[in-house]
Amino acid sequence: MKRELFAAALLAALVLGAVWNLTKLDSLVGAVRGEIVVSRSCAESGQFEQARIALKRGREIWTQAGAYTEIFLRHPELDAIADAFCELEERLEEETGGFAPCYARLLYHLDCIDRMEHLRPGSIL
Amino acid sequence: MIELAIVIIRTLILYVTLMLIMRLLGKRQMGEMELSEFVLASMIADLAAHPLQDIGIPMLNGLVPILILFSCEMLIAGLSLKSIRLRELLFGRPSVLIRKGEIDQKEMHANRFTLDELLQELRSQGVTDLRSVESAILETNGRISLLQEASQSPVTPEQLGLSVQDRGQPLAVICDGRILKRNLAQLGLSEAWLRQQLQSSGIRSAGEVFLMTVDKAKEIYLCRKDEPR
Repeated sequence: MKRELFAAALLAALVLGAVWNLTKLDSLVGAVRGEIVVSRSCAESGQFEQARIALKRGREIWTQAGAYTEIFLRHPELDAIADAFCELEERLEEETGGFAPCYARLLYHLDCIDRMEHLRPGSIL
Repeated sequence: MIELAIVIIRTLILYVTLMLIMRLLGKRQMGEMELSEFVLASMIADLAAHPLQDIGIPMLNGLVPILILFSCEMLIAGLSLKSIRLRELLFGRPSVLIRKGEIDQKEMHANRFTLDELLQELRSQGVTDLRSVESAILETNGRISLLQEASQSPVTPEQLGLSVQDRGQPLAVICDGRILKRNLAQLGLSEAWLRQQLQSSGIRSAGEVFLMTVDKAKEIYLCRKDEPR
């Protein structure tokens, strides 16, 4: 009976862990996405310094959660996000425009992670 | 270099986890596996291999499914101990393939068991004459249990009216030079008795013995260690 109780407790812990993972990822991606959206609107209005600051904040939030993302997310996806951040930073440094596709790419990679980790028929099947 | 270190650490973690899980799943896993247990073992092996082959995959992606399978198996095993219906549902029920020398073809067909397989199994158990088989039961683990007709069964001492001494299962008391105190205590013997037995065989210490077994009747089997080459 002890083994069954242990198994049930382990299963419950794993389910709780999965729920925690979903909420953690939601809040992380939401916070990063929020900063990127702010950065994009600043860049679109020509406030490149503000855009860089907002993007830096977003990147800091993302890198500070490194311990979490490296354990729970696939590393190729993390690499894709890191590359997209670098590309966008370079574009904003140049202040010559053409940053829209870089924002789109970064947001797309974040959305991919968000979509994959959520309980949807598509992600399950 | 770092990649190699990651693979080594991951391998060690997964190895310890799998050993622990297989130990907790019980000894039956090692030999007589039910179909579901075989599927479980195959899946666990496959799941463990992925994070080792690709370090881009988080180890949790392998560990979590393994732990979920383990939990489910433990729960199902526990519940099936309590419920006969669940046990039948999950593991099936034994099928009688031969009854009083007659092959039950329906059961053979239902279990996808070929005549060749049946004859091979009978031969491996020393049976060549189907008429002598009282019953052959296909167990849920895929093995066949045979019961031969009473006239074909070996004669027992009881049937012959003989009294035989129950010598019990011999236990190893010295194994590769080491005294197994637990087995000695189980037989109700002391180390002093053991030393005395060794001396009477011309052996100075347990270190010279490769294997020594003793049964309930204190019958001894002794095998000395080979001389070092």
